[in-house]
Amino acid sequence: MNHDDLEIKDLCLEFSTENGRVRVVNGVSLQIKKGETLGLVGESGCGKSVTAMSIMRLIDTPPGYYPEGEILYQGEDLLKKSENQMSKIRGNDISMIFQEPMTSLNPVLRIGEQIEESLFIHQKINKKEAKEKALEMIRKVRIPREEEIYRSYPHELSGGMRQRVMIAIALACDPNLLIADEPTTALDVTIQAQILELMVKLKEEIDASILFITHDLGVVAEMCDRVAVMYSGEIVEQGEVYEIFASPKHPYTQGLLRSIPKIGKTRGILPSIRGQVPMPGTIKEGCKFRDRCDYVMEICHREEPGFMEIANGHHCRCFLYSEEVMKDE
Amino acid sequence: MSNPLVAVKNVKKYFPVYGGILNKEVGQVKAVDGVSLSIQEGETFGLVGESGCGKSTMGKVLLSLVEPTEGEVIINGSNWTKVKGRDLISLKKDAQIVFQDPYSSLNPRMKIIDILMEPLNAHKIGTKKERIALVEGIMEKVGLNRKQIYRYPHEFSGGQRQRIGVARALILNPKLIVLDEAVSALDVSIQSQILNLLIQLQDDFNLTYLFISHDLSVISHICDRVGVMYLGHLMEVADVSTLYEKPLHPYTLSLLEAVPVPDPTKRRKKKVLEGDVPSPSNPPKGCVFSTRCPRVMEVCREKRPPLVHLAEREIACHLYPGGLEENRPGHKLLDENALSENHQGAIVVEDKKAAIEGGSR
Repeated sequence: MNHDDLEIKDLCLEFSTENGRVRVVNGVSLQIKKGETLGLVGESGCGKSVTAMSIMRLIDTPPGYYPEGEILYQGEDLLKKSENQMSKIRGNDISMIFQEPMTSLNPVLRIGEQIEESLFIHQKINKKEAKEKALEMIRKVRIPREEEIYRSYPHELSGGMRQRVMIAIALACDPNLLIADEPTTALDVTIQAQILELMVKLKEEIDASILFITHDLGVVAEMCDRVAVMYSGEIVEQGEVYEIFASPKHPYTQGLLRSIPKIGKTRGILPSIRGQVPMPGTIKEGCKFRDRCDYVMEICHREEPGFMEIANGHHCRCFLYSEEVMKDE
Repeated sequence: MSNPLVAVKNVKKYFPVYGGILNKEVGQVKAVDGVSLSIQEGETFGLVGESGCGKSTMGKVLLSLVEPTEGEVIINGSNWTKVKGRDLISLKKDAQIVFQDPYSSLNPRMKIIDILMEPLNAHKIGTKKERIALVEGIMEKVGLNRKQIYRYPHEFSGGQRQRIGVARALILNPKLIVLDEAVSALDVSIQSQILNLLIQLQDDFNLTYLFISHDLSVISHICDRVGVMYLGHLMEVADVSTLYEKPLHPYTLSLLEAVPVPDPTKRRKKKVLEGDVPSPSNPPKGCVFSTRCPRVMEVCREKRPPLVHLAEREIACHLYPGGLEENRPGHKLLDENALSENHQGAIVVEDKKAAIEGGSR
C-alpha cells in the first residue's frame, strides 16, 4: 500500500436512536489509490455520505459509534485520532466539498477571508502571502476578475461560482484527498458540465485523489476510474468503471443501470426495481437486497453473502457468484 | 390537425420587484415572456429548461394558479384567462397538477382519505359513500393498498407519497395533468416506477400531460413533443425524436451535450457552455441566449428572434430566419473559432448538417 493511499477496512457505523442502536454502515471496505477518482454511488439513505463524513470524523460520538473497522491514512487509524490531531488533517491532507454551496459558505464573510481561513490554520503564512495565495486559488478555479470576487460575499455569486469557491477553499492547502459529496447535484446541467470539467483539469494539476459521492450514474461514468455501489449500508459491488458499466454483476447494479431513462429511447415501460429501499436496521439477517431481487434464492434469507472477488479487481456481494452455493441450488 | 386541448397564446408573466425605502416597484422579473404553445389531446408535452427559465411559472399560469400579465390560455375550448370566480373553479376540474416534493405537497396532519376527498368535496361530487368508494378505487389505480387510506403521509415512503400526489390529481378525472418536476426528487429505482405508472395511467384514462422537468433523459423517455425554454422564452419546439436526433438551436445543442451519459466508453471532450444564465429581471436586449451562445452574431445582440416554423419544428434563432441558409450575407459571425470548434467532435453537429441539407432540398 502506498503511503498516500486511504484505506477503509470493515467500517461499521451505528447511530443511537430511541429504538436502540441502528447500523447505517456495515462492513465497508474501500481503498483510494493516489491519483485516482473513486465513485461511491447509491440512492438516498444508503450510507454513502456518512461513510465520507466518517473519513473526516465529522460525526460526533454520541450519536455515532464505530463498533468495528478502521480508516487508515498514512499508516494511521483516523478513528483513533484526537480532535486536535484531526483538525490538522482536515482541510490540509483531506478536504471536502459539499452539495449545497450556499449553506456551506459563511454568508457574512468575504470570499477572500474564507479561502484564507484554512491557510492561516495550516500554514505559517502572513497576511500578504495569504492574499496572494487566495487570489491564485480564485484564478485556478477559473473565476474571472479575481480581485473583485476576493471582496465579494457569497450571496453576490451564482450557484456555479459558489461551488467554484468551495473547490478553491478545499484545494487551498494542496490536499492529498478531496472528498466531493454530490458537488454538482444542486446545479443546472450546463453549470454541472462546467464544474465537472474544472474538477478533471484541477485533479491533473494538483495530483490528488478524489472520492466522488453521487447518485447520478451519468456523472460517475464521466468522472471516475473505479466505482463502488452502495446499498443499505453495504458495498454490493466494486470495480473498474468500464467493467461495472459494461457488465454489472450485482442484481442491484443491474437494476439501477437499467432503470435510467436513456436519451433517444422513447416511451415503453422502463425496467424498474420493485419495492422500496429498506429502512436501516430493519433487515437483520440475510442479503439486504433480497426483497427486491429478481434472482432471490432460499439462502439469501438465511445468510449474508460475502464480498467476493469474481474477476480481477471486480468484487460483488451476491450468492449468484458463489460456486458453492450455486452448486447446491 | 384537430383542435388542440390546450392553446397558450403569447403568455407573459412579469413579477414586480419592490425596493427602496418607500417599497415602490423598482423593476420586473420577466419569468415568462411571450410563450405560445399548443398541446393535443392525449399528448405528453415536455417543457425543459434550467432553473429560473420560467417553466414552472408557465405550468402555474396554465392552471390559473397565477394570473398572466398578458396573453390567453384556452383549455378544452374555454378561455381560462377570461373566466372568473365559481365558473373558473368548475373549469379547474379538467386540469390538475402534481408537484415536485412529495414531502411538502401533502398536509402532514391530514389522513390520506381526507387528502384525496378534498377535491371531491370542493367540487361537490357524489355522496360521502360514493366519495369513499372513489378514493379506494383511485388508491388501487396508482398501485397502493386501499386499506392504507386511514394512514398519515409520514407513514409512506417518497415514491408512495408521489403516488398519492398522482391519485389526488387523478381523482377528479381531469383531461390535463401538469407534472411539475414530478419525479425529480425521487431516486432512480423509484423514479422509473413512477414514470411507468404515469405512462400506464395515460393509456388507461386518455390523459394529456404537460411534463415540466430539467432532466433531459426523463423528458426524452416520456414525452411526445418537447419545448426548450430559456429565460422565459421558447427556444425550440419539436417532436421528441426530431429534437434529440437533430437539434438545431445552439442552446438545445449545448444542453444535450452537457448531459452526462451513463456509459464510460462515450466520454468525450465536450464543448462546455460558458457563463451563467442572466438575471430574468434584466434580460439581454437581443436574443436572450446571446450572452452565452457559441454561434452569436451581431444581429443576435440587437434583435430578438421570433419563434418561426421550420420544417417539422419551431425555432427562435437568427441562424434560421425562416429559411435555412446557414450564414446569410451581412450576418458576420462574431466568433469563428467557437463555430469551428463546435463542429468538431460533437456527434450531434453532424446530424445537424444533415438536417440542414435534408431540409433545404
